Amino acid sequence: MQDSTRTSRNRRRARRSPAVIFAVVFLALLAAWNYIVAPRFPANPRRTDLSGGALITTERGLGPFYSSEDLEHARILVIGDSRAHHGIVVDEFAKAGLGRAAVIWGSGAQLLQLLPELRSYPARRVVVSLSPLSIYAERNPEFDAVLATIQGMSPEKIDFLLNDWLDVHRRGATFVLGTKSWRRSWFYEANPSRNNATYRRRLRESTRLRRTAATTELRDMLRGLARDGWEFVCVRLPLSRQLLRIEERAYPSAFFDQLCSNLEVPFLDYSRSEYDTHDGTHLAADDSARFSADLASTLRDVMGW
Amino acid sequence: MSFDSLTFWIFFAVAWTTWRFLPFSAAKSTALFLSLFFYAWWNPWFVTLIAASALVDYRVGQKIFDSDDEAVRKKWLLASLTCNLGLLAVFKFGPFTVTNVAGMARTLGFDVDWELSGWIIPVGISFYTFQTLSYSIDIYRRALKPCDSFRDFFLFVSFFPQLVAGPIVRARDLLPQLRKRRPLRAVTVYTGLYYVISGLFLKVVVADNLAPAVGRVFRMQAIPELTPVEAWLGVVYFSFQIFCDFAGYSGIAIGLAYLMGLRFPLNFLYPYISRGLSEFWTRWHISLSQWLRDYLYIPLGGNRAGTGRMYVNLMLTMLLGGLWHGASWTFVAWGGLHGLGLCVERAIRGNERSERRFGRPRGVGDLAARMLQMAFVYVFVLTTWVFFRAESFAMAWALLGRMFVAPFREPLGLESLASARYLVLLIPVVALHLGQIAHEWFGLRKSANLRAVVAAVLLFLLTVIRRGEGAEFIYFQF
Repeated sequence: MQDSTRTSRNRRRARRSPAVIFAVVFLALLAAWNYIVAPRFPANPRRTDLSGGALITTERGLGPFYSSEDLEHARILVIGDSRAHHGIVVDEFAKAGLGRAAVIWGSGAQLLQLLPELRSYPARRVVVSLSPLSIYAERNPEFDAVLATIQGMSPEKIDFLLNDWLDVHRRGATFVLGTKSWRRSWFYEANPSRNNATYRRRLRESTRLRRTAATTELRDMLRGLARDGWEFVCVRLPLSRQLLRIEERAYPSAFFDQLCSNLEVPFLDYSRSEYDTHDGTHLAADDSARFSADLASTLRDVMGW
Repeated sequence: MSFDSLTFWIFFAVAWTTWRFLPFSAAKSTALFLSLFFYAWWNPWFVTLIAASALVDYRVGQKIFDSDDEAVRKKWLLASLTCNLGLLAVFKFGPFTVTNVAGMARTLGFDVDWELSGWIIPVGISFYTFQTLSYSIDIYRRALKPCDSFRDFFLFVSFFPQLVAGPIVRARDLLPQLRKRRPLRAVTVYTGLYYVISGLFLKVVVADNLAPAVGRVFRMQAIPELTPVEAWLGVVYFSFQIFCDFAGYSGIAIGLAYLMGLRFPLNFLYPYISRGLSEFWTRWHISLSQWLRDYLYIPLGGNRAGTGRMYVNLMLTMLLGGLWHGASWTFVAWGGLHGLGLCVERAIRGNERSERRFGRPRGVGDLAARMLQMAFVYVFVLTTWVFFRAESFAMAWALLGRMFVAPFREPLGLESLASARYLVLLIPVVALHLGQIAHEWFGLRKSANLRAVVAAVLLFLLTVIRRGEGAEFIYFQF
């Protein structure tokens, strides 16, 4: 009698044990994750304070471009592509005593399109974010297709649509990750980065002639603006080592150096600096603030701004 | 309504409750209604197609069984074959046939521009037509008695867990289970939950997160820019994506059946540990390969009609197996390559059965030989996946060029490995394969407690890792 009671109790225990083991292991893992791993996890590497900014409608119908701050009252303007948007924290310029700054940017925007916009605003000091893609890169057909659909829409609608598509575009146009940063971004990036084949393609050898023509045009444009009173500093923003290697094939640092010294414009090369990106090409949140503070102090102390 | 959606799990809660608690006859009627509702969620019009297919084979089955005249029986079997294969030919291969006929006509100088645009291929048509076909053939072979209730037969054909992407369940396996409700035991529930959790993990965490990495490699524009390492990585990712996607779906289907107190056949058994191609086909899409063996290869004569005929039969079976996957010549090439591989393997090994050789390795040499065989089979299968995934032969050749020719002409691009974060996703899948090796070679017991630990880890990973972009199950299109 006692044996049969014991046997049935053992059977019940055996029936329950997988469920108990499952629950214990699952809850233990969740607890370990929550209380041990997650607190040590680095903060979200993407800037959370970023919004596209206000849409700038240009007379020439180029763009879309955005401004992050009030352009009419800015003393310093930063112009460039999405690297500038992610990499510059304008508050750091104010903290450094440089006054108000604003960023004019466009996703994949080229300097040849952005520079003419400077004449619309009072600021005379300009930080130009130089990158191979901002000088010349093949157009992104997906993005062009979106632009083609917005003809005749209200500015609000265009803004809404573009913000939406820019977000998709930005996420789609993020590149290979540095080994240092993938660990951080793994749990945050729902759409992981493109591989660097896409990047190589946009800078491929067959675009060399057009790149050279664009460089000449850019040089003339900067020279003209400088003659009319604009003061420039060219900056190459930090990026991952993998992307830098690809860029160096098309535009070695010496090229930018040469370009700027011909124009007698200071060139600050941060491309090899130890700032972390969240996707290989756009600075991570904490590093963008650190970088902006570093840049602002250089502008103040070395350039005398 | 996909297995990885919240809608489905609400649906399943209703289906499970009615299946377990209504009187069995009412439960079956409700399950049939819910299965048709499940299919109609995708496209209500195509429910009529399943109904027609089921009705034809139900009647044909009775006619075959009722007749003792071989000629009459054959005539009815032919009717079933014509109906089911006709459905496949029209709905699945219609656009393919039209395009190819138009191409041939143009080659002959006719000025034609035929194209079937906007054609919709009914989801799961390849699966349910094979199920109904096997029913009629089994009755013809006197291996099965016809089902005496159309409702039960229709439920067998349209039962929602296996309706859209298998496994291909045979009538002789499922119909007997519909006679009487089985008690739901703890071990059945545990097994079902294990299959569901591991299936969801494979699909949501691994397959979906690999999808973007695969999509970037299989693009005609991107291929010339790929380094050899990137090309290889892309194909490796696809080999895991397709496994996790399909094995994930099958696992969930099998798990759902367990939770309802039913048994479905196993569809995947860690195929990448195969040491031969014939073994691979006893581990990959098992229900399809067994179907092809029983209803195509053996009726063609199998290996009983001489060596030459055996090779022809193998090739025919694999070519048709390739075509079953999709209306494209790249699928045929994929099947053909597997057929060729099987022929070569058979030529080397003779009739020695190479399938699933269990047991502890006899020393380091044997272990190394097994690992080499496994690697060889994996690389072969990997190469064939290029044809399976490529949208055209041009794309397949271009990618194969990057994999096999480019390494001799240009740098390998090893730096890509440093940022190949998708490799992390392969770790749990490789671990599951290694677990199977431990089971088959070293006798590790798959106890309920061990499964509970694995399921807990997988559910944990499912909870903390975000899903990727590739939401739709790949095998829905087949």
